[in-house]
Amino acid sequence: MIPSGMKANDWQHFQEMLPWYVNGTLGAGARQEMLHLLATYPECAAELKLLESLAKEIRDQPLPLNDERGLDRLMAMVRAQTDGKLSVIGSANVARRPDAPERKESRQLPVFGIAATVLIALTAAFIVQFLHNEDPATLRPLGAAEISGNREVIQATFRATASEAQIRGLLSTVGAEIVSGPGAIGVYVLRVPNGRVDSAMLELQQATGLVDSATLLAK
Amino acid sequence: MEELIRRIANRDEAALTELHHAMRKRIVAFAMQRLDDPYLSEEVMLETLFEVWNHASRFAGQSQVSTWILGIARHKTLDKLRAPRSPWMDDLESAHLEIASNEADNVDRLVAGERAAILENCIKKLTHLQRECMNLVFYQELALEEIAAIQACPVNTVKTRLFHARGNLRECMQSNGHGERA
Repeated sequence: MIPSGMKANDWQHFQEMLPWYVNGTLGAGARQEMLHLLATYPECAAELKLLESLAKEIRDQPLPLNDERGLDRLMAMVRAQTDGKLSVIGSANVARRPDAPERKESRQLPVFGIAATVLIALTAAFIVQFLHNEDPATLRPLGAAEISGNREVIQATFRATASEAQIRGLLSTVGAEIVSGPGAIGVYVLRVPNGRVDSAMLELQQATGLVDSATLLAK
Repeated sequence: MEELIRRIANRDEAALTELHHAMRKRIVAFAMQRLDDPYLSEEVMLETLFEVWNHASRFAGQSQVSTWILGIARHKTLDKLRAPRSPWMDDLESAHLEIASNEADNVDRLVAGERAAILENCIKKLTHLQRECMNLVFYQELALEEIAAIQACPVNTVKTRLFHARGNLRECMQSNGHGERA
């Protein structure tokens, strides 16, 4: 409702500009106008209080992710690029830059390398799935594997410095198999046989030189 | 911040680390408004900073550094919206949502309170552009003209967008018994 004695245009202008008064980005002139309206009309001051409260609540909303893993991955991508190796775990998608013609030639080999790595991984996963699957009719590619089932599922991320061979060796030791991953931020979903989840979790958590995090997701 | 970009253009990894600390949460919070997915939002953050690393010399100084970076993040976010989604992401997210939901139940009761949860739900009911606009004003604290540049629209559109967003938010909060403060 328009404050009594205030012009409709002024009220609308006040309402439109108030968010930028709250976030402190108004120029000196516009800020002076707002200060005048705030001092003159109590309704304007009340509106300001509401919006400041809302702004604070928006700023205070927690983010779902809050750790430093991203920095490790970012620096791994940078160094992989510097070394001419783009097949850092999980960074292939991030490092792919088809809009950068000046580097196109130098990226030919890494791109083919990534494609070859993915092909080998998919083939290996297909074979593993084939060997371990009790019912051939339910055979499915790695990317479509189901999390549900009678096995237990762990989400894990590995240190940027961990090589694929080291990761494979560790997973073999703990008896885990990869359901999917790595995602672009390096998340793997692992599955372990019934009854082995506790020991697998323990071993993963103890391998601090290779494992960044390990979380039990589902049983 | 401009000094950081100059250092990054000279391949200074320490500067990239500093930029990551300065912008990480801002980029993730911004991407979340459109993607509503913490994993994809983190991916957007990585891709954005990697782009900055590779193209820092292109920063012309015609806007604030944060505006330039959020503009890149917006393109990356839109790319994600256009890209097909991996099936395993859905599975993983479902598992996480279940855990987060259980945690949120407890946390809301004990710490944050009902209002914060309702506000979050009401914000989610806004259009993507309205949510993005709210984030750019109140979280990123950008000027009107900068938001118009990022959202690629006239300043009047930004004003109208935010005006309607506030109206919708107020209405939603009131319908949930929390109208007195929003």
